[in-house]
This record gives sequence, structure tokens and C-alpha cells, in this order.
Amino acid sequence: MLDTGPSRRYVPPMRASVPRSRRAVRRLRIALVPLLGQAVALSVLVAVLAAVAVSVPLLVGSAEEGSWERERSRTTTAEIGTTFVSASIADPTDPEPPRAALGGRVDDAVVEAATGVGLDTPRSLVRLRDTAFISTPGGLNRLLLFSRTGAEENVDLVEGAPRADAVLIPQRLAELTGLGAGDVLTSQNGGGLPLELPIAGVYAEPASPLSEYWAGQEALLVQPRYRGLDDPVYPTAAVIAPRAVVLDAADEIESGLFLEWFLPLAPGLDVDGARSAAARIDRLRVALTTPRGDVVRAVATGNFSPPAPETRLPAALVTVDRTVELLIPPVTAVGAGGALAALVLVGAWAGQRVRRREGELRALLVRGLSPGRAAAVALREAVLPAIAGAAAGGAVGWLLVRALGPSPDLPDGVLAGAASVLAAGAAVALLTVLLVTAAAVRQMDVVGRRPRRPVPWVAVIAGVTVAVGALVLTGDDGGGDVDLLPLVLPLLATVVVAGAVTALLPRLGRRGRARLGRLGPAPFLALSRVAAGRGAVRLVVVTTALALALVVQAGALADSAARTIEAKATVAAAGDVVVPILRRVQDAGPSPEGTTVVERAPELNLAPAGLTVDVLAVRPGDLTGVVRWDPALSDRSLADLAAALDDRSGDRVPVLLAGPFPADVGAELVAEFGRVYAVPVEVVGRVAAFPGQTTDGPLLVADRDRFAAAIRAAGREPETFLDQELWARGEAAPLLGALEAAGWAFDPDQVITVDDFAARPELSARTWSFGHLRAVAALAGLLGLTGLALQAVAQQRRRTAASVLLTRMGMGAPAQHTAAALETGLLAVLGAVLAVAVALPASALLVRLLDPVPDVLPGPVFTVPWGTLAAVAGGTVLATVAAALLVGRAARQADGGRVMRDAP
Amino acid sequence: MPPETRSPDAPAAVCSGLVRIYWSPSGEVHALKGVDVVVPAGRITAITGPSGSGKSSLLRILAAQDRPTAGRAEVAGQSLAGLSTRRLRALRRRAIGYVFARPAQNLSPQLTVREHLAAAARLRGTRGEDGAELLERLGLADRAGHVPAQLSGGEQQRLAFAQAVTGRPALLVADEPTSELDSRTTADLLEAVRGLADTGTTVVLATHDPLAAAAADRVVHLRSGTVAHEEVAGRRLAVIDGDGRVQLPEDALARFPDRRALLEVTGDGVVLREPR
Repeated sequence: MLDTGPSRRYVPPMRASVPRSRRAVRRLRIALVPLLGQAVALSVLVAVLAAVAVSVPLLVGSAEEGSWERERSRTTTAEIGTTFVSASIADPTDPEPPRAALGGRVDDAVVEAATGVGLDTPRSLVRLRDTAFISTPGGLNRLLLFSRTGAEENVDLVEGAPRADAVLIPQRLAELTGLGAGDVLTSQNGGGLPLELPIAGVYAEPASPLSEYWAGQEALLVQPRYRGLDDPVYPTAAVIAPRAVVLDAADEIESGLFLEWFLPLAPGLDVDGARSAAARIDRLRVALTTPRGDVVRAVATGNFSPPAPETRLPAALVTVDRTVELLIPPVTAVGAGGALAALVLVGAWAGQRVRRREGELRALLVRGLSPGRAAAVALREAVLPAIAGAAAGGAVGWLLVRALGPSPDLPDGVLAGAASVLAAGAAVALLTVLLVTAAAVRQMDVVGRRPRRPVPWVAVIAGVTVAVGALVLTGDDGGGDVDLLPLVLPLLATVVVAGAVTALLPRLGRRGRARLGRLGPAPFLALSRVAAGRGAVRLVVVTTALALALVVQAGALADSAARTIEAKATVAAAGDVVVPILRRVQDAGPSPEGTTVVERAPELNLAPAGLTVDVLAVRPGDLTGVVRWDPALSDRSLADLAAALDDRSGDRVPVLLAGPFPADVGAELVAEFGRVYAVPVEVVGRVAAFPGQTTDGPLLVADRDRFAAAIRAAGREPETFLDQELWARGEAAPLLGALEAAGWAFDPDQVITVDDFAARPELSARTWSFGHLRAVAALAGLLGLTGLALQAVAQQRRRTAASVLLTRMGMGAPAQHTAAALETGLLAVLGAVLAVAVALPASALLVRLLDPVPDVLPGPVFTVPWGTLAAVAGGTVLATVAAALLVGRAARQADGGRVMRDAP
Repeated sequence: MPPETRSPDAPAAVCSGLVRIYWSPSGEVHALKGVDVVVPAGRITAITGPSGSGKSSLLRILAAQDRPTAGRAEVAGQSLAGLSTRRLRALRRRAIGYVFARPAQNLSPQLTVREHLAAAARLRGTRGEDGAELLERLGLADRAGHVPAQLSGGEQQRLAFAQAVTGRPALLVADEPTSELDSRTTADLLEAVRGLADTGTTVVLATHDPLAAAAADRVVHLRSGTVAHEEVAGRRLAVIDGDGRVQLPEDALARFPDRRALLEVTGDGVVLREPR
């Protein structure tokens, strides 16, 4: 190194010329952020750690809120609100039945109890229980005399105004009878007792669908249909009255009272609000049954049935809780794994920091610097980047969960919990920097120790992989639960294979040396460097493969889960809606357009196979228009299977075998229902599952008409033994309305829709947890490819002297850049190929074990995540191009003379 | 033991029968094979010898960065035998300054000259009162606000010496400090080192550089892990160990191809003759 000349003239030192504030800032910068690049790198890593760690509580909170919002949207206002009813109990032995006014006391007591536990004032409905009739020119009308809190404000008056002593009649009745405000409505009950009601006004009957206020009160305002029953149909006239009028009327015609209270759930209520509402309703439930409470006394005095709140709110919250319960383990596993990986990278950063500042540290070590003091300095330098990274990561995690999570809103306390996780993550990152630095510096400071035998990491990880694989494949699959072990198995396998392949590279390089020599300078240099398989090559290939394997695994699991759910939904919901028909109640006409009616017979004996099977009898011609079909169910098309079922050439009933049948079950069988009937069947096909299959047991799918004919041939009535369902495509609500209008009898609670299936907690949890895994994997992949590019740049900086020498030996800069790009590309492609080659089959193995709903066929369906693979390929190319550009820039920035002077 | 509590005439370091063996995958490497060296206080001692002769091993022991496998090493009055790593570190911090061969190796790129001295003083546990004097003495006073990248190689190495002697350590050890300097800069540096020695600093240099060796008060020449000879005040001395073994200089050794000599004790000395 050359000196610049003799000693210089005295120049006023920095201390005198630089302001005190700038000196202080400089001291602070040197103390806290001496090297900006290193600080930024640590910030990024801590940001990743923070984002991944904080995503766990945030996603769980978002899922809780999202699950609640989904449940809320799936239930009507009437269902999710709380309804409790009471009615006066008629006692024919009582010579003097209680006066109806006591019903008012019950109402008051209940309202007071509700407000007493912090609930809003319920909407009280007081209605005459007994029927009274109004004579009109068009015939008798049923009188529905009721009062409801706020009813007068929720109808449009076309005449008159509400009064405390008069009623509002519907416009239809007014037109029919010619009555109006100021007139008197006359009616009488079945026993002939007259009832006269002064009219205060006329209201327009609300149009369907009813407003939120009238939710659940369709019985009052919608004309009933009793098709299929022998009861005569009387139009109803819903007469709105003040409560006192209703109570007086009840006494007048000696009618009992029907009381109903409704507590709507506030619109837009979040899950915390819902939970507190549920808690208050529980308290109300207690208040309503407290032995010496006002309600119990009022109910007893007035001889009313005790009111009991009914609501789907607790059930909805149970679904929410179950979803969260199922979500927490996989999300925690992914979050913990991701955070751990990020922590390892933070540790690697600390090790790299020591390595990059090795000269400086050695100079200090020889002067007595202790590892503890070196670690303390590292800690001090890491504080600001860690805080900045944690803040940025926390914000990114929050924004991502808000944008992509189940709900943008979070329950109370989640942000505080997330902040704690964030603080803990930053603290652990700092602790890692401290410990790794102390250990690395201590290692540098070791005096006179014998060299250690290197740890065979590949063999060790291979052993761990085998152990984990054995646990995963032979252990209890936990009903398809996702936990840490299954998730890490493909990653471990990738590390082992990548480690083994890179260990083989030098051997391959030696064998192919002669061939390499025939290549041009750039490919020769690139291939030689890769084939050397040095530590950097191993590190790059293994970490790239690991990061991309996580991406591939996440893509495979998420896509397969979505595909599996889709296939299962096809089976569970047949079409879009399944309506079980109440047996022998309906006198309905033909099913609506676009629907089909199927029949079921449970638990038949299949001879000679000796199996217990269910039978699903369908109309093959209707299937293709109604049934959802998934190619995963069979390699034959639905039309092909329907044609096979419709084959009427043989004597036997053609059937499909759906679900788990033995391979050698035979082609000609007999389905027997005890000794009642026996149907000879012929197997015309097999499918993994069939739409409408409700269990994971074997199912025979038969032609409905031929199956019924076979039962009739046995001298039995098929209607006696077969349950009917109506399958349809499209929205449930209009279909159910149409069915109701057409007189079909069904229980709305038993209706199954494809949305109901998709809303099962297991599926929501699975979908969201794999979405989380995918996001974390994308982050890891991004980090891995960025690391690849940065490693290429770092490698170029380490090779600056070699690069200058190569230039002086005649190898041009373009050839060197090409060699560097080729080298990076080869490493990236090797990592990507290894990731896909190992993680994809390993994920396929895992998918089999991760059935979210084992009781619904078909089993898990594996899907190749083509989109993910394309993203991996694109990312690999982009990282290579970016690395080539960065390497070229770094090479151009290098000063040849200075490089050679500073070369060790 | 702090330097000031020892006798002023006591040597800064004493090595006796020093053996250092390293273990490598290919077997043991005997770097030092019974070296006897005395480093007088307040003098410049140069250690020379070809590559692989054991200079760096001896230097590391003198700098308390390593312990001998066998033999006795006493640095700044403290025997290294049985010293824990922590105590070795404390000894280095208290009593030893060290300078690497490459100037940039000794310095932190982000610190100015003044900050280097302040940091070194902090590490030494002193308040750095001698900083200004050292900068003046080593010709760096006008560069106090500069970072290493703004200094020449010679200035960087002078700064390395300055920070190494901050707090007046008992021993300053430098590993080939002039190897990357040109002759003019080397001369400047050696003049500065002489100035330090004149103020009582004990300096040990491992060097290949004849200029550096010439500037030393004593030159210990190593060969194959042993002391071949010493030069003091221009006179070359053979070394006799405690068991009576004499190391002959190479030219003298060449006189005895059969490795046998006739020994004759005369009134004014001992004479070795070739057996005839």
C-alpha cells in the first residue's frame, strides 16, 4: 500500500469544525446504525418474523369475526334474534278464569326483566288466541287482533291516525267492508260472542318481503296457505290495536291470549356484541325462571305458560367457536414455524454480521474484547432495526389480514394480543442476535482447541425426516387435523434431497470436467462454480429449494383442499338445494322446473356380498340438469352414467356402486329389505361417491321408476318404504317459496344447501388455515428468491479480485456477467426443480391424510397446483434476471486497482 | 499483574521451552519446539524467520491470544499456563496492544481517527488522556476527524499503533506491520515505533522486512520452530537452552554435515570444531 506523501500541514480537526449537534447525531448513528445495509436487512427479516407471528392472533381474530359474519348472513333476523312466547292456559274447571288484564302484567314483567339485564326493550306481541270472524261481502275473514310494540309506526296509514282506544284495519278489509276511520268493526267468535272495535285508521298491508321490523311475523301479515289439509281457508285480517284494546277484547269474547316477545339482534353487531348479547339472554333466561321473580309470579297468577327464549344465536356462536378452535392449531403451527424460520434467518443475519465484520472484531478480540461485550454492541445496533422491522411487519400483517382475511374487523383484545406477540417477536429477535453474536465471537476467540469433527447435517436431517415421516404416516391422523408434523415433512424431505444432491455435485463435476472444458468461457465458468458444490452453492440450493418447497406445498395443500371441498360439496348437496319432503303430507303437483325428486331407502342387505347399503333412486334423465357433478367422482361423465342407469334392456334394475364397495362384489346382486322386498340389481358402473350420498358407507344408485316397480312387483307400496327428497339448482329461498306455494310439505330446518356445507366449521377452518399457509409460503418464497439474488451479489463482491484477474486474462465483462447469471440461474433452477420434485409428491402423500370432513365422500382429492408452479417458475426467472442485473451493477462499480490493493 | 508493579528491569515477556502443537485433520503440527525467548522491557524486539518457522505462533502466545502446549510463557509478569480464556482476555485488555499486518484489518471503517482512540481507551478501561499526545507523536493530529478510507496505508498503520498503545500496555505486539507498506512509509512508521519505544513501550514485531529487523534492538531468528539465533547490537548470538542444547546459525551448522562436533572448552570460551 502506498503512502500519499509526507506528513500534511495541520488541518483543524473535525471536533472544532463540526457542530455539537451533528457530532451527537453522528455518534448516535455510529452507535445504533453503523451500517445501513445491515440494518435494513435485519429490519426486513424482523418484519417477516413480525408479520408471520402477528398473523396468528390477527387471523384467528379475523376468522372469529368472519365466521360470525357468515353465520349472521346465513340466518334471518327472526332466527338470530330472540323470541320467547307465552300463552294463557285454559282451565275448564276454573269457574272464574283469570282476566286477560293479567296478560298485561306478564308482558310488563317480561319487558322489565329484559331491560333489567341490559337488553333493549323487546317488541311485545299480544294477540287474541281464539279465532273471531268478520263477516264481509266476500265471506268470513279471520280476525287477527294484535298489538305489537311500534307496529303503528311500521305500517303506512292510508287513512286516519293511531289512537289509544281504536284499531287499525288492513286496506283489503276496509275495501271489502267499506269501513274506515271512525267506524266500528264488528266480529264475533266461534261461540257467537260479539266484539266491536272502533276503527282509528286504515293501513296499507306490507308487501312481501316484509321489512326487518316484521321479520318472523309472516303469520300475521301473509295470507296462509293450507293446501293439502282439509281445513277451510279463511282470509285473515290483521287488525292492529293498542295492547289495552286487545286485552279488553280478550275479556269480551272470553279468549285466551298469545304473548310473544322478540329481541332483534342489532344490525352490524360484531362478534363481541353477539357474545355479550348471548350472555345477557342467558341472564334473562335465568330471570324468567327465578322462582320468586316477577315474571314467574305474573305467569302463575295469570295462568300463562312460562316464556322461554329461543334463538339461534348460541348455535351460531358455537359454530364460530368451533371454527376458531379448529383454526388455531394449524394457524399456530404455520405461524410458529414461519416465525421460527424467520428467527433462524435473524440468527443467520447475526452470524453473517460477525462474518462481515470479522476483521474488525478480530482486531478488537486481540485487544481483549469479550464476546459478551461484542454481543452487547450487536444488540445495541439491532435495536432500532428490530423495532422498525417489528412495526413494519406488524402493520403489513395487519393490512394483509384485513385485506385478505375472513373479515376486516377484529374482536376486542385481538390487537392488544397481537401487539404483545409483536413485542415478544422483536424481543426474541434481539435475544437471538445477542446469543448468536456471543457464540460466534466466542468461537473466534477460542484458544487452542482441537478441531471439531463436522456434523453430518444431511444425515441428521434425513434421520429426523424418517422419524417424522413414520409418525405422520403411521400415527393417528387426528381426523384430518393439520398440525406441525405433517406440514414440516415435505420441507424436511426437500432439505435432505437438496443437501444430498449438492453433496454429489463435486463428484459430478469431477466426472464431467472433460466435457466442461469443451464449453465456452461463460458456461464453463458457471458450471464449474456450480459443480464445485462449495458451501455457498449448498446454502443457496438448500435454502432456495426449502423456500420454494414451502410455496409448492402450500399451493398443493390449498388447491387440493379447495378441490376436495368442491367434490364433497357436490356429494353433500347434490344440486344446490336438497329439500327432504315430509312423507304423505303433501298433495303436490309436479315438481318445479329444474328440480328432480329422488327417493331413498336406508340399510338394505346386498346379497350375496353381505353388505349393508343405502339406496338412492333417481330419475336418470333429470340428473344432468339438476345434479352437480365433479370429475373426481368418476372417470365417466354424468351423462354416461345416467345413460347406463337408464338402460332398460335387462330384467334387473341397473345400479351404480357408489363409495366403498369391495372390488369383487360381483355384477348381479339382490338388494333386500328384510323379508319385505327384494330387488335384483345389475351393476352398471362404479363411482367414488354420488351426489346426495349422505354417509361414507356404500350406496346403490338406481333408476327410481324401475326400483319402485321392482318393489311393487314384490307386492309392496314403494311410498311406504322410500323417503323423498327434492333436489334443485339455484337459490334456496325462491325455491322454498315456490314449493310452499305449490303445497309441498317440508321442514325448512332440514333443507340442505351447498352454502350450508361450505359453512361447516371444518371447511372454513381448513380454507382459512391453508390460505394463511399460502400467504406465509409466498413470503418465504419471496424471501428465498430475494436471498438468492442478494447472495449472487455478495458472491460477486467476494469475487471482485478474481473478476479483475479474469478480465486481465482476457475474459470480457459480458462473458463474466453471463457466467454469473448462468450460475445464479442454474442454482435457482436446481432449487426449484428439487422443490417441485420432492414437495409435490410429499404433499400428495399428505393430502390423503388431511381429509377435512371424513364422513362425506369422496376422500381427499389431490390437485397439481399449476398456478403455484407457474408462479415458482416465474419467480425463479425473475430472481435470476434481477440477480444478473444486480451482479452486473456490482461488477461495474468495482474499482480494479482498489480491489487488487485490498485483496487479502 | 499491572506493569507498574513490576521491576522496571523485568523483561516484558519470558518464554522458556515453549512448545506449541496444532491439530489438523492430517495430524499434529509442531509449530514451536522448545523456544526460549526473553523480551526486554522498553525495547523493540523483532522476530524473524521464514514462513512456517513459528513466528506467528510465538507472536500469538506473546500476545496472550494462545497458550503454549508445553513450556513456560510469562507475559507482563503473568504466566499463561492455566489461564482461562477469560483471564487471557483480561490480560490482553490490560497489558497488550496488537497490530495486524494489513492496516485495514486493525480499524473500523466507520470510526474517525479520534473515535478509534476513544474506543480503544474505553476497551482498555482508561479515559484516553494520552490520545492527543499519541496522535501528535504518530503524525495523525491533523487527521483526527478522518475515517480510515480517507487515510493512506501508512496513516492507517500508524493509527493502528496509536490505538494499540493507548493506555500504555506493557507489551505491543505487531505482526508484520510493514509488510504492506512501501519503504518510505515503512521508515516513517518505524521511526514512530522507535519513538514509542523511547517512551518505554515494549514492542515485539514479527517481520520479514530487513528494515524493520534493523530497527529492532534485538532480533530473534526462528527456524523450524526453534530459535536459530539472536542478534543484539549487531552481534549474532547462538541460543543455549536449559538442557545445554545449542542452536547453531545456518552457516555454522553447514560446517557440520555429520551433525557431530569436537567441543573444546578454552579459557575464554567454548570452541566447536569439525571432527577430522
